[in-house]
Amino acid sequence: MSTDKPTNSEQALDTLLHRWEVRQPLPPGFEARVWRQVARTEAVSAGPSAFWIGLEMWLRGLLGRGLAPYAYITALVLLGLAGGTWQAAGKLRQERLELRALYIQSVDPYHKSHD
Amino acid sequence: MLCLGLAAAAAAYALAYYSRFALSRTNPTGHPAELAWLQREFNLTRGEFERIAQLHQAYLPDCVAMCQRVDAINRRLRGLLAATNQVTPEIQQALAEAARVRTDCQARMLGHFYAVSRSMPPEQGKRYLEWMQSQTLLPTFHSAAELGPASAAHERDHH
Repeated sequence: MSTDKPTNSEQALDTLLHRWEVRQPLPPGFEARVWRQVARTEAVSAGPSAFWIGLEMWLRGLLGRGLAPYAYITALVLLGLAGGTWQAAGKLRQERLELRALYIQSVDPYHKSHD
Repeated sequence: MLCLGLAAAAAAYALAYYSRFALSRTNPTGHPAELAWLQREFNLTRGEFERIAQLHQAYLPDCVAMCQRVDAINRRLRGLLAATNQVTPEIQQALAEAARVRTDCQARMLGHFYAVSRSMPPEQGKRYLEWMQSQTLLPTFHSAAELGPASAAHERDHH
């Protein structure tokens, strides 16, 4: 039920809003945070690349707050853990194959090396 | 900061590597590593594993004797093949002897595999038997019919 003519209460609100002034200064970085939040919200609804954009925003947030050293060390530790686990898994797989072959050699005369 | 980060990464790497690799390859059984592997691979209890280790030890002298027979017939066959370029009666006899040795070895092996599989839980025993048979007794080559139409045509051209 909308009408083109504003009511009295709407006119009063308009007047009040036009007269309203922000006297207190905004906290430092407020504007940047607002834009970051806007970008993050847009990224979430953007589709498959949303994760990477979100990650980038998160990292930017960390860097902005002086948390870069922690992020850097955490990333290196995670990289080390992943590398060690991957390397060990490969070596275990290789060793498993060698032990299988050794077992077969131990029971099958035709798998042993003969002179 | 760079050095600290790299040191932390190296420590994390070593921790992950040794906790995953070194600990999982310990062999407290006192038996050879390939037997200890059998215990892990087929989820054997201590009792099952000890029984299988005994069977393995009892089978080894048989296996060594079979190896000697295989070596002897191979040596003889090699000498005969080097001395001529025809299929002589001696070569035929040696080939027949080699086939007999192989049959004998395979029968003894199969007997050992059955004994080992009976010492395992039924499902694991079945898996062990299938695996050992495929690795030792079943041929690794295929007939032309098994390999497909191209090989079948190749086979036809030969006959």
